[in-house]
Amino acid sequence: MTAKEPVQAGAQMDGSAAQDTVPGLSSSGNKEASESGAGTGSKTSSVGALQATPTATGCTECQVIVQTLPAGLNLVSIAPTIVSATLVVIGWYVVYKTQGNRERRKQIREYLAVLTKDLADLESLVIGYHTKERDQLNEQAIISKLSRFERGCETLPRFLLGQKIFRAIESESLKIDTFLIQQLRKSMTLRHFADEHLEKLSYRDEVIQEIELAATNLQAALEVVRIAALD
Amino acid sequence: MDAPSQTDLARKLDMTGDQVRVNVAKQFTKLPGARYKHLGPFSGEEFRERFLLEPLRQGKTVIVELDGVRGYGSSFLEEAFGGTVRALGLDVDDAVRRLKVETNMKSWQLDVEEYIRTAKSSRDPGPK
Repeated sequence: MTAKEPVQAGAQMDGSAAQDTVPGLSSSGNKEASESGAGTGSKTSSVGALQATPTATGCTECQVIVQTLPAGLNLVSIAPTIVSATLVVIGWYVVYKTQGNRERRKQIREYLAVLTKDLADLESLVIGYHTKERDQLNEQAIISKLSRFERGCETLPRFLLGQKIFRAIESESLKIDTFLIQQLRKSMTLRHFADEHLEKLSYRDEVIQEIELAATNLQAALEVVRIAALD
Repeated sequence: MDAPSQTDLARKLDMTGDQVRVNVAKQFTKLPGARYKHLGPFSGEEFRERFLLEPLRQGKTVIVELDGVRGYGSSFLEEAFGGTVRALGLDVDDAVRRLKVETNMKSWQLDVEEYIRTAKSSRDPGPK
């Protein structure tokens, strides 16, 4: 047996007296190792001089642990260290989550900025469509942009996917009222759209006013979400 | 356009018992058009005539899968679903029960449900 194997040998024993010890070491080998150790007094680690002799109860592991601790030290005295270490780990985790949430809120705000611009562009496009002669290309563009905007709004809650605790923002704050989205599409594409577009409307027409109202309401809803996502 | 034959309809639609499933993107178009068919293809009117009227006349439930398309104008949806209620003279409760949509877009679902509920009171059919 080598000096590296005493624990193994000890672990294999089933309570009987130790068959092998580290050469040169006896039951007092620990004491010798401590005294001739690195000169760190009673705190010298005796790892290199482990003597895996079973106790009377056969608990080899307990013997190892006891022999490993410097003399005079016990679990009660190292409790503050354990508590400190635990607090450090918890503190690290909190900081990590806080920074992650801050970054996530920033991304939500950037996403909202894109949505807000899309809404403004859409409103401009649609009002232009209704107040000019019919343009079928613009009709296609309106349907596409509207659909993309709607999908964008419905994507917002997904920013919290995977976050069960320490959420960046309340999930309810990210939901845009579906009714507002529906009203926007109705105002833009229900009346005077496509084959109903027989002549251009004036800016004071009811259709135009409904579009502006729906867009304003949705803009306000996006702003509420943006404020909720502020740091 | 001639009404589709029973064979055509059975072949095109997924008819399972009392239920019919219609996938707009796969069976009709990915680019839904406007309201009326006389001004362009893939209109709400065309969709209604090809996929909704006959199964509902037969007493079946129709489930329309809306996803997979570029998007819908409200006029398309109103003509397709509201127009179906008007064309068949369906009772609102019966229409709500037998004419359903499935979609990931909640606003589309809201739209369709509103047009089904308000079909008889809402629209002046307008010019054709």
